[in-house]
This record gives sequence, C-alpha cells and structure tokens, in this order.
Amino acid sequence: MSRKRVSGKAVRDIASARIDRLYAAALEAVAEDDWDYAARYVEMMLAISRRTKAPIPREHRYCKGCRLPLVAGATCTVRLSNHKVIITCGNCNTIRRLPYLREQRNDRKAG
Amino acid sequence: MRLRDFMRTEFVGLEVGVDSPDCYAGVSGKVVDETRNTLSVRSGGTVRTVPKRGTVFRFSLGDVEYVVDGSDINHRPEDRIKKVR
Repeated sequence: MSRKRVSGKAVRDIASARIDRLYAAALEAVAEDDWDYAARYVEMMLAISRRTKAPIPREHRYCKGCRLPLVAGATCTVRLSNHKVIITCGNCNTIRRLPYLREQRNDRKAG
Repeated sequence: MRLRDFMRTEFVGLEVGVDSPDCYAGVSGKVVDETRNTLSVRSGGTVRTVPKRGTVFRFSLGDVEYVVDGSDINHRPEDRIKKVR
C-alpha cells in the first residue's frame, strides 16, 4: 500500500492551527460586515474539528443557530437578567443563557 | 515548510495567483472560500470561482512561494489534512 498515514499528533497540530486561522478570518469578515463569509468560516472550522477531534477553544464563540461568530457590540447583544448572562445573536435571534452561579455563591460568602 | 505540509494548511486568507489554464490565468488575490472542487478568489473587486482540477496555483505565504497542482488538493477542505499525500 502506498497510502502513507500522517501521525495523529501532526494531524491535530495542523488542525488546531487551521481552526485558529479560520476563526481569525471569521472575525475579520465580521469587521468588514461580511456575515455570510463569517458564518461559512465557522462552519469550516467545525468541520475540521469533527474530522480530526481537535478541540475548539472556548474563546471561539459562535451562534448555535447560524454559526455566526459572537462579537459583543457587533453580531450579538449581551444583557444580564434573571441571574444569567443573555447573549442574543444579531442575525437569527438565537438566545444563549449562561448562569453565573459561582460568582453569586462567592458574593454570598463575601457579603 | 515542505510542499506536502503546505497543502494541509488553511488556504482561506492566503494570496494566490492562477498560472494555467489560460481562461483562469491572471486571476489573483485573496482566497475567500474553498470547496471540494473549487477555490474562490477575490480578484479585483469580484469573486472568481476557479476549479481545482487541472489548474496550477501559485500561493504566497510570507516571502515563500508554493506552486501547487490543483489536482493534488482536490479534496474537501477538512479532508485535506489527512488525504493529501
């Protein structure tokens, strides 16, 4: 067989580099008001992650509904209500709620 | 970076020029999209979609230039990592 395999570590290294590059490209597209391309780059990033099992860093935030990268003040609104951080996508209005229980617990202890 | 390794990296955002065939020669600019069979290039205000198969691409990464035969990268972008050899 002439098919030479690439080692798993090499694959994940390349994949992580490409994931970072694609997210940077997506943010650039958002800055240029090109939301379609931004969502496309996030979709490509997720495809690479699925294919290679390379993780998506937590800081690479995107909308679950339309794959648009979430940038506060540009593509989404961030509000606090009901003891949660509410992130609303500016394109498809998908809502993400992040409770901040740990902070509340710490406040109670301190106060 | 070896040519083989370069063909596994991300193309979106790179500067690219097309050498041949004649009908696509002269297209040059930033890569904006990639599919299994095509590469989309923003060339002088318009986006041109160039088929990969049978095309010779000239990528520049910093001051290094890579001449790539399009038939060698005729895979989906996420498959290029494992399939290119």
